[in-house]
Amino acid sequence: MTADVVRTVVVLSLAGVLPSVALAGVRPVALAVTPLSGAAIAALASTCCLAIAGDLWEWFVVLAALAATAVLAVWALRPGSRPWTRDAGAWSWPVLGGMAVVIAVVVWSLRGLSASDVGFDARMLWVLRGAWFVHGHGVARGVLSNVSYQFAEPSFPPLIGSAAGIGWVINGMEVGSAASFRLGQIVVGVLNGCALVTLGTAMLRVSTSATRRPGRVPDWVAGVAAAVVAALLCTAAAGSAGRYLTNGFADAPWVFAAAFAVVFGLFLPVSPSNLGVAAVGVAVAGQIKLEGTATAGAVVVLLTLRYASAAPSRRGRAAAAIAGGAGLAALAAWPILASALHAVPDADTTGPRSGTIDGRLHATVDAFGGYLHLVPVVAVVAIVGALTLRGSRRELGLGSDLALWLVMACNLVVVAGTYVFGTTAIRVWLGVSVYRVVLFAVVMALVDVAVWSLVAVDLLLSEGTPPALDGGRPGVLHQRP
Amino acid sequence: MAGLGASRLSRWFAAGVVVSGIAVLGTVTVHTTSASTLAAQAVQRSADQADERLFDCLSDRAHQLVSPSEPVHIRGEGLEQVIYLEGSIAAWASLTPGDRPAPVTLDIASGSGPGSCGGFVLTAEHTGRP
Repeated sequence: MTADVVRTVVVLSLAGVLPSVALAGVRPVALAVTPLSGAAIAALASTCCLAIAGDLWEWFVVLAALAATAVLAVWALRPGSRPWTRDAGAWSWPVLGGMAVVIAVVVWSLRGLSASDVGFDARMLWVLRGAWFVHGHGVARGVLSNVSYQFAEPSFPPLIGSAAGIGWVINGMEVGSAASFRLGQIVVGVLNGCALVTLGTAMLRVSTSATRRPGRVPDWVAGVAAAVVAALLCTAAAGSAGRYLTNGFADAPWVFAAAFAVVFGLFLPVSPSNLGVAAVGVAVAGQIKLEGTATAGAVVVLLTLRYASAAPSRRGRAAAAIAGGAGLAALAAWPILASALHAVPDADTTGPRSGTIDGRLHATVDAFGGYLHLVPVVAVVAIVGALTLRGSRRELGLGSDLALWLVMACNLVVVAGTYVFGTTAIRVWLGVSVYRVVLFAVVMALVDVAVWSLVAVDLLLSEGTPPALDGGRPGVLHQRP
Repeated sequence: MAGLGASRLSRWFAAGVVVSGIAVLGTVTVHTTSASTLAAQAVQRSADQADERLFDCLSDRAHQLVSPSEPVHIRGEGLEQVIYLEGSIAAWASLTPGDRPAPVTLDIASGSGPGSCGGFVLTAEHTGRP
């Protein structure tokens, strides 16, 4: 099985390496996003398989080749776009050391992968759907509108099953065998690990030698502090996912991908490389679960606003708007396609509704409240940070954390609305799922408190008078990552 | 002097934010990796592994009864049994809605003995009609 997993990750990474380097730059973080980019390409391959013809593997090869060709063509025609011309100095010892610490804690968090533990939903929904795309267009189309498959929710996005399906094809596995589901479980775990490492690496970029003010202590002290916070964040986020980190469920991978998209795209300084990493996060989060698609859409809107406002010219603002529109269109592709092909409707949101709207609302609010104790605590920390550390945050070139709270609110509204206006018996439904659907809000709260902590550490370690409590002088947007 | 006061106040607030942040992250880490939490997860994992064995056994048994290309109806005593069977074979079988013809009907029922899976027995009824 180890060899099967290695082959799968290598193939996904080969497909994703050039797009990842083009988007994320020649930086350590590109290593972590490469398998994720490959998984996003696999999901797109399934979409094409369903929409047109062929099968998952054929489209995966074609799309990977197209992506690589496009990247090489752009680099050949526009030498200034080559990432190694803009990312010099990204491979510093503090970053590499911090990343090593993050990788170590993430690997430890994934120790549950050593046992076969394919969760119920992984078997029935997430990993299962890869089989339809491996079998090809005819089977996928037939399943999509076949009520016999309603239990498997065919209309849900395809990334998890697609990534697993690539592994089945290259390893010659019998689709539907115990080994194939075991491989799927591990592949999902690897994707979780890559997303967590990317999230942890984002913390190492909050305060860098390029953005930090001169300090009274050596730079490595700040590096150690960043590594500690990054490690704590990854451990806390992984722990919050619980068993769903390693049993093949789809919640953790989209949550962690969306989380690093928020940090790289909405917090870290405006730069092509940071935007590129955020784009990978959005592409992954948006192709796993429908609530991930909605959340990724909110991230794209805020990304567009941030980068458009930072653009120095009208042409730049127009380019940002067009890119944002294209991103939203890409996210909407799967849901629109499934609807156009008359996919079997979601069993939880169709048919006669159990209970009243009012009763469902109360039950939902009660259930959410039981898992979101952390959010008001972090909100207090965030308010204190916004009032007293705003100037320091701006000097580091960081975006406002209001964007994080907006994305969190969007996610909570979407999932709460699904429960309230859905049809399945509400208490049973909440009982089996609420712990997972609030995971994004929990992780966002952890991210926010981690970032504020690093901003505060930067102030404590710097010398001289910090920005005034009212925010001080305007900060400068840093163009270097 | 006001500047020095603001500087000291800023640093106190910053220290407070750092302590709060570490406390939040640390508390979540400790809680989610506590022995009680891990023990509860172990119980759930055992239940899921039992389901996994059931799924695999049903799939293996169904492979002996139907071929992947044969349209098949599913029938069972209860919804739970039907869902388990559907999940077991959906990756390779051709499930067909009940209102469409199928040459084979897979029936899952409570039972034990050779060929049973976790208290269930699979049988196939061949109608001979495509």
